[in-house]
Amino acid sequence: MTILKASGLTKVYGSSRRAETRALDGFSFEVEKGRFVGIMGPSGSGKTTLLNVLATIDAPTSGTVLVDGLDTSRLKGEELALFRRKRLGFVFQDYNLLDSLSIEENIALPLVLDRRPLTAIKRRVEEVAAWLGIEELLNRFPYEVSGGQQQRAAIARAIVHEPVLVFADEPTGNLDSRSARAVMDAFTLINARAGATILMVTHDPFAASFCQTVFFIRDGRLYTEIHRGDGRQAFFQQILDVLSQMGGAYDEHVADRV
Amino acid sequence: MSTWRIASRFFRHDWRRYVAFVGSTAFTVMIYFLYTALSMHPDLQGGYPYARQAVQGMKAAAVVIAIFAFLFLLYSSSSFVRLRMKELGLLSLLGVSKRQLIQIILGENLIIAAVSLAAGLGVGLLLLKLFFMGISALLRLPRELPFSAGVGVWLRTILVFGGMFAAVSVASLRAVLRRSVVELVRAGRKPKAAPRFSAWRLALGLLLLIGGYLWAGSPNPTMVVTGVVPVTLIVSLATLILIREASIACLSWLHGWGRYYYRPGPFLTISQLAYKIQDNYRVLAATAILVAVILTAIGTAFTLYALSTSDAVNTYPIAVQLVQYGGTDERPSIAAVHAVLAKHGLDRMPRRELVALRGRLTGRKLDVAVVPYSFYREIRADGREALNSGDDHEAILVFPRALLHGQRKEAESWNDRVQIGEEELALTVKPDEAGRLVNPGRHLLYNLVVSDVVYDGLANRVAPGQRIHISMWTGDWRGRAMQQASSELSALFAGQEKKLVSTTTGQYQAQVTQMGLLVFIGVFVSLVFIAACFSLLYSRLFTDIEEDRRYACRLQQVGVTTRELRGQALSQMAVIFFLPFVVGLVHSTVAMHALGTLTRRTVLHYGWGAALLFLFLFGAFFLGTGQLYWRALQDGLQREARSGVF
Ligand SMILES: Nc1ncnc2c1ncn2[C@@H]1O[C@H](COP(=O)(O)OP(=O)(O)OP(=O)(O)O)[C@@H](O)[C@H]1O
Ligand SMILES: [Mg+2]
Repeated sequence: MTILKASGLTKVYGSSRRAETRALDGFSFEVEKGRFVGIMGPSGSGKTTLLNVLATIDAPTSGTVLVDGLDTSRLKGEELALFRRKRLGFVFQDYNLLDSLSIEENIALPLVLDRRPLTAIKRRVEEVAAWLGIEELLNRFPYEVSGGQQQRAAIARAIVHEPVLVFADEPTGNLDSRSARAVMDAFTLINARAGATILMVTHDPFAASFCQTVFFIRDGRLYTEIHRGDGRQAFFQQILDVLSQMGGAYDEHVADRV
Repeated sequence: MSTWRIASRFFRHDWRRYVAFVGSTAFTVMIYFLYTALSMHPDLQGGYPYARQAVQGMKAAAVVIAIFAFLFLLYSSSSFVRLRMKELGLLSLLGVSKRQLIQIILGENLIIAAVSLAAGLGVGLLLLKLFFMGISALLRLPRELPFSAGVGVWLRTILVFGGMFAAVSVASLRAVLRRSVVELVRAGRKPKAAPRFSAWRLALGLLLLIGGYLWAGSPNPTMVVTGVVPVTLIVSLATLILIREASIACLSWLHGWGRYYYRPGPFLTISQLAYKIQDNYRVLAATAILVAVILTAIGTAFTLYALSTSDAVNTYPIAVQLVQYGGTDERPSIAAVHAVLAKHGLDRMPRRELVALRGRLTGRKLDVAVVPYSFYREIRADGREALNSGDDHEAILVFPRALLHGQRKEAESWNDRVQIGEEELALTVKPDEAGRLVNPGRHLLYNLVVSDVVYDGLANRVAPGQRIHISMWTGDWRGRAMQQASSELSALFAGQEKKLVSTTTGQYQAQVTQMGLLVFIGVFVSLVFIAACFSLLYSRLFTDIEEDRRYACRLQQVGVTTRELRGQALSQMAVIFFLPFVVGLVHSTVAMHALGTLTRRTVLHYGWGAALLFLFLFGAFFLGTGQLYWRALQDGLQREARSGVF
């Protein structure tokens, strides 16, 4: 079943003719329910723009986005905010936890905003925290735990309300390789356990190798897509191959990363 | 980039921060200027009746304002500097030299000083005429004060405030130069520990507060009077402790109450509020104390005004009273008074004659005027309770009632001796505290009532020098005719020590003038405090705005709607604004209760009247500031939103 369908997405920045940037140029793709999808591409290729448009944070210049069959361009103002917080989950590069709330409260936030009953909130938060191995940290505050742990808490928050789609932009961008691995394991786990559909933008071929499908984007257009077969190692190699095919700034980046 | 450009860029970046600072400083300059102009006015250096007191009052008020303005400037500028530590740190990291840094800070302070002074003096000049008109009317000066603001006034204002600005600039320079670049950049970015309250400090605060309140609430007037300074100190300290501990305790309790807390509004507001209060409790306490002082000052001024004017009839119960001491012929003076009254159409007022005898109550060591019981009965017949004592061996001592009087409870009765000339009598005396029988005068303050038989006997035997002849015209004391008659009468007998005329109207006029002046000074000084109070709250709000923006932005990213965000921001702001107000109101209610003890009346409503007035001001200020704050917050959010979420 298709959960996300984008067709002919175009985004043009700068209205005057002289300073026009085509960040997206007729981008189309489909994502099946329950998939863990990666999006890769060189810097400036339009990944962030794509994610913003898909996540209803930014409106496309033309083209449509269907989330679970619903055309998101129909939603306005308050409706849009409500749609975003009930149906979508977000994971950010800088975790974006609220400093004044404990880890537990941070995770509970979407449920509280949704006015769920207290007992249901508590039960659900404990369940999700247990999946992600952060049940010991629930009473701590964000500044009292490591970056990787904060990111896992952010993932817990992104899926606690069972959204149809989880968006993540460079979730491992601020992490060392060990924490990055723990975070990617967490994504894999919630994808399997909760059946969450995940859309992740990343520069990092290692992180991307945890996905089931990776879309490559260049100059705002879909370049290619690859699917994971058996092993993660093999998929990692496959990703590196596509990246070197695409060329550009990628080679050096990969070289010092792996 | 020149240092000038850097400084002006700072200003444009966040002008809202400067507005409160410059505005309230300008306001303070203006008030100081007005007061100085008045106290240095050439016409007032001579001798109008109440003018001397007024000038004294103004001078004292100007000193209070100057001291207060200095503290205020010092505080505001230090929080100002802290705000920009990071910006200044970045600049020096980018290679701006120390000298340029100094130039920036001094330049900025110079501009702020110049603008505040110019605005304050300009507006002050515009309002000066109005101010003089008001003061002339209040003091009932025969001629309105002409417009005058000599070089001295300008010079003094500029010197006083210029000096303050210089001192404050030096202080802020020191604060910046003492820190290293790294410290500057890191300023304010330390992660903050979660707010916790300490039970023993909470207990200490409560103990202090209850102690202070009990002292102030004591029914004993002497206790109240001796308590004014210590109670103020104790309660201020308690406020400082409690506003942090009690608020955080309260919020923690709400936090623990799951069913309430786990709802959108409380969830987003409570923990954030605890941090805010932890960071700002000093300012909140200062504001609460300021509010308490303002409310109490205005409430007290109103009370004294209202009571003393309504009290005119209690202290001077006889509409027109002529007192003649010694045994001279009393008829010519009575005729003269009658003529004046007749001239104003008041000749139908009933007249009553009384001869009181000068005596001394030896036990009590009091000079008294001895009057017959029949007179006492007559006066007390009009509703007030009369002590029943027509007995020859009993007497009634009528006490004068004062407005503010730490009076002890009188005994039921006591044995005493009264001495009148050569005569001496033993009597049992009962006290009467229900009010005066006649207007006050030499020997007339305390009246001793004896039976008519005893009185007649004494009256026949005493020397003429012991007799006080009192003529009383009773009836309505209000009205224009009465006013004119009253001033004519006091002119008629001016300078004659043995013949005294006193009127209720005259007393009323004097009270209105004096108390009106008191209210005026009180309200004006309060205005300065109010301005400071608002400015403190305002600048606090905009000091934290970067942090608030970050918080709001994060909330928006997890899907909190704009409406919820607005509700959250405004309800939080409402607590920060109205918490000090409520605390100040409670304090001032206790203070007004104490004033009630001193005046032996309920005066709480005067304090609450003042509070209501202030609440309107506060509410208007809250709405205005709320708008500004929300717009500033949104500006920042839109900036963030334009750059996308990811
Ligand atoms: N708000 C904007 N206004 C104008 N141009 C923009 C804006 N945001 C992005 N662009 C341009 O659109 C193009 C795509 O940007 P985008 O941020 O989507 O790239 P990206 O793939 O996320 O890059 P990176 O990997 O560096 O994050 C770039 O050329 C960028 O300069
Ligand atoms: Mg990007």
